[in-house]
Amino acid sequence: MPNIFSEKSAKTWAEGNDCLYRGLVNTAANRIYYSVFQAVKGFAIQRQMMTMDSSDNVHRQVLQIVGGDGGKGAYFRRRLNLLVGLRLIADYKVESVDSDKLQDLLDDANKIRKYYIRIAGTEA
Amino acid sequence: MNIEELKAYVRAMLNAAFPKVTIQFERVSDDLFHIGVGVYGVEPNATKWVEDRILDIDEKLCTNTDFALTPLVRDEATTKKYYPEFASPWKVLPTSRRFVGSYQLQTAIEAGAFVDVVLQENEMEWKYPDPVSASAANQELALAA
Repeated sequence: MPNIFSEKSAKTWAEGNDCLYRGLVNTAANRIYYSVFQAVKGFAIQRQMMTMDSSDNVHRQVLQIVGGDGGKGAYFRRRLNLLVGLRLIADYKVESVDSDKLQDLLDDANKIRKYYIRIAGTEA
Repeated sequence: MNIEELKAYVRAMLNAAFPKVTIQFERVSDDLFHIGVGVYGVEPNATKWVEDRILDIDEKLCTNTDFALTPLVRDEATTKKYYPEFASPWKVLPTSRRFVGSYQLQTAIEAGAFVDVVLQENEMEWKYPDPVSASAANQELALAA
């Protein structure tokens, strides 16, 4: 069974990149983070680590899932953690997200997203 | 390790390496175990360095635990514009760098034995962009160990 959030994650990713292209950097940071979040959540639901309705502590849980995934997990946890920080700034802080910092994270964010979409349909 | 011990350790490490900034722990949504590490008044060329140090601590202490540390590092310009109350208080205080670092570190060590273990086993070499500060930071770490 494919990752149930794969389609939504792809759409959110496209929205995020469109916002970034148009200079809407705070919205872009939010959308790009959530596209990754959705991909990992889809994986977590299939592995019964989350349910569709999970909402408590889910962002920390996503960091734990990514970080706990073997050799490159530590590196991708660091990168996702920086994206978490940008999303917090975008949504809750008075300043705006630094566009360069978001650009720097794009490639790794997309790798994480695609990875969890790809492996969700494989055996645990 | 409890959350207060973790905060004490983070504060001690950052203060020892970089005493001229304000450190504040911030809530991340309603999650008590996900801590935003707010650092204010950081020189622009050092923001990435400070972020990396927080991520180092997150990696070493929080992997496979219930905790997570997320860096929220603001440079001097952002701090001055949006958070003037956090603008580099240490720069105007006649306080010794060594005294501040040692005091904070002692506080952290008193908070829990784990700190001592981590500092002894930890071979992190913190290379701050400014060579003077890098030297001071590593000296603090050596003293701590």
